Amino acid sequence: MEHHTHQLNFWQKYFFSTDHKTIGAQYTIVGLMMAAIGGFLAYVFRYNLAFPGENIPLYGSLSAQQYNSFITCHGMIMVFWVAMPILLAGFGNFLIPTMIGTDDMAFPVLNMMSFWIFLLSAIVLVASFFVPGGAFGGGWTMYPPLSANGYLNTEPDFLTAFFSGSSLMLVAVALEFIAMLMGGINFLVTTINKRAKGLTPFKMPLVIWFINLASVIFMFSVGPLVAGAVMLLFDITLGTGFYDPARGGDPILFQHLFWFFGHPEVYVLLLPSLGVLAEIIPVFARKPLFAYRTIIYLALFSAVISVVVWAHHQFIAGIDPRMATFFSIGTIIISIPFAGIFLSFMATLWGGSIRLAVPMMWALGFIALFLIGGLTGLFLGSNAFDIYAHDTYFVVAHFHYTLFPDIFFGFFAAFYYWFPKFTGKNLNETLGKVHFWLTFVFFNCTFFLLFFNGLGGQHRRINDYSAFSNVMQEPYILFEKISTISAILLILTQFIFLYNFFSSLAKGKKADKNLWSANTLEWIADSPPPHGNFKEFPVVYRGPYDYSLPGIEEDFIPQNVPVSEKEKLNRV
Amino acid sequence: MDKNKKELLPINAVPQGRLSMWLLISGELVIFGGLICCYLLYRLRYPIWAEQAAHTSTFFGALNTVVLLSSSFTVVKAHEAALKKQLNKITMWMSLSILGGLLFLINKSIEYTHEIEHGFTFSSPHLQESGNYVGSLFWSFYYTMTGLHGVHVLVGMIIMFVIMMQARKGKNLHRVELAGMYWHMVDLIWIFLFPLLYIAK
Amino acid sequence: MENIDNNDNIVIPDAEHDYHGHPNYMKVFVSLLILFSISLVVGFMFSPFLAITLIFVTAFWKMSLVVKNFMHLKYEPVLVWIAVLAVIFILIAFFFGIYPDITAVHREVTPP
Repeated sequence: MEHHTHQLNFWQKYFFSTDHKTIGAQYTIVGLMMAAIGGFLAYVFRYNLAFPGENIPLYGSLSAQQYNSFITCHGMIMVFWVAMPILLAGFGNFLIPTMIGTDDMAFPVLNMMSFWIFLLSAIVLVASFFVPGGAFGGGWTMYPPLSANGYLNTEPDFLTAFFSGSSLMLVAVALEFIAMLMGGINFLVTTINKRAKGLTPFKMPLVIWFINLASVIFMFSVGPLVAGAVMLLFDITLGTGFYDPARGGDPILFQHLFWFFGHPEVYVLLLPSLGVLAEIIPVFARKPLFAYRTIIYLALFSAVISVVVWAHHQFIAGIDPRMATFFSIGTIIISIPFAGIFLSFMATLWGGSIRLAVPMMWALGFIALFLIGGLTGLFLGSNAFDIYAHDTYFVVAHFHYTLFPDIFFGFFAAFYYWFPKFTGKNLNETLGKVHFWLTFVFFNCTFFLLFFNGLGGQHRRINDYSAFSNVMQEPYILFEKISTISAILLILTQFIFLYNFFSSLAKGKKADKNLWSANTLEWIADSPPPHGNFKEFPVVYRGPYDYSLPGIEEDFIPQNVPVSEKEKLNRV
Repeated sequence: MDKNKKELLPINAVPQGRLSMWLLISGELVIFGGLICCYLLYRLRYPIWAEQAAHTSTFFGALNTVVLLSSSFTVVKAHEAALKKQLNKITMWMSLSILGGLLFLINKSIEYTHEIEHGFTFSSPHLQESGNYVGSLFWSFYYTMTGLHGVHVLVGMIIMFVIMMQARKGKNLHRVELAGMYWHMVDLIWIFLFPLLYIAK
Repeated sequence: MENIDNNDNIVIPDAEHDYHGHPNYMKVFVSLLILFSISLVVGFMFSPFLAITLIFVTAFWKMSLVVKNFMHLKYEPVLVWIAVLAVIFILIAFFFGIYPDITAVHREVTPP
């Protein structure tokens, strides 16, 4: 394999690059920048909740309208502009070509275009803060009538309506979907057609399976919402009444369209992180992954079920109660494959010689925290309990216990694991551990108490609780304060990560080619992998999790090592 | 080798262009399918929509169906010519397909003109003023669905034009088939829109 | 599934290579036109219920003709079939999941 080492100038190398690693880095960096914005918004409205009416340091005073905008955009940004680019596009771009042993994506130019569309969508979203009336403030789910004929579009003027917060947010989301669809098609085609010789589907690392499965779920569930978003955009700008009950439409329809995508989206976000866990845990437990194929089948099963559980978000929206039972059962069923996946991770740990390196700590932290998030999800999935807890801080705590481990623990696990590979520099281990423990502790302090606030009847999306006597008493006020202070500390903790990132990038020690002694193909390439990744395309002979095989001296055998005679005897 | 017999292909033996086209098409079909599902649900909810649907012109709808079916046929002939590397024939068949798209858009715009003259627009103010909000919703759906489809027709025409310009010089001949696939998808959506909006009254 | 595992060297046809068969396009086109005229005629001839059923049967028939012959789905491997069938599965799940809430409910339209 020959690669022309043509000279690229600065712009070609870092901005308009078609190299999958550069594009992955671009996605990740934009995702982290959006995470900083989302985190700042969280800080502002958390401060307002704990110390109502006070001046917020670094921001000033927060009006009710701004509070609404901020909680809305916090949710929007964290899901669509942090989780999606980092977990799906970032991981996918970095890992797919390197782990399947090829030089680049199937469509490098399409890949670059999808990043630029994504960046445009991020810019449109941030720009919506600066239009008259501010960013949209009706909740990240964008339910009509708040989004369709809210307080902003009192004038039936097309341009005014188009440049309102709600319509700009819709446009931004639509652009983001286009970018992710393009990226997803690229991932699927790359994985299906460009795998290394001998890398059959059941020899692929799980993370590749899961990223592709996530792309499939995304691609098929997003369609109705795209149609629904077009209809909503017409409701906002052209005065149609698709979602207006007074004009024959139905707001429940939009809720269905939204959650038909929105719930599978949860699995789109979860699967790549689970894949990362499946890579990290066997490496640091020095054991083959328990039940590799079963995990794949479970994930396929969950992908099918994921499109028939969506209405558990709408139990109190006035949906048909018979359907509510159906969706409750579906929700409880879908916990089975994920319980199965987590149990096989734990079975992998069982009896392994566990190295508590930083990536492993994040992975274990993920499992511990997601357990709480997943189990509370079971409560909320059954409609009898959901009717009581709906739209309270119990729900807020629940989905932060699922999404925070998923997005950030998953990202940091992957970051500490693959950073040495893709930059060639080692990270500071001690700082990594400090970062982990502080994040773990402050995250729990932030969100665990909110479960009690939710059960105490505190509703979400309210900026001033002075009219709610049930939550304006101890211990709920104290819990709010503890939660806010922990949230601020949680955000400050991330500066340790930033310091570690930049200092290691500047003067970190040079990393070994295969520093964790892992099997998958990316560790065969140089660190950092050059343009084109491999000197010659690897040939794959075995599955990705051959650790500590009996009768073999080394405790790991990379995928490109042929199966020896001795091993064949032992395998029986 | 008899190509008309279905061979046992390995699961993933599709060239990447065709594979990505299939994925794109399934993505697009879910979008239109979602819209059609919404329309169908409202259609079943409001039998009264029949009186609005009576205003759509079956003649123009039928004409457009024939036009799109024929242009689908011509584009597949272009693909056949591309396999035989008959560059002149590719240009001829593809121009015919683009002409079909153009004819479709002309028909559509004549039809839109008639409807708008009768006051049926996106929000149909005269229906809303007379209190017939449900009727106006039909026209919202009508324009959303046909408009979105019309945009796809336009995009398909541009794609076919670009690829025809390349294929004329003998470049990227396999892309003729890919453009054709996109065009068939546009045809496919119309096959469903036509009975939904024009016949089922 | 086993034959994939054993088949280590899948040769992916290159883009220029004509790897699938070709039906008689003219025949398909004529049958499409015939089906189309049937769907036009039944609209005027039968009871509305029967007409609508027939119209949609012909629509699905036309769809399968176009997809299978013009788009050559007939000659594609299982993977592509899965992608196309997934669309139908998704749409059925979507339609019947929200059917009771949109259609089976009587909601009065009270103008503002």
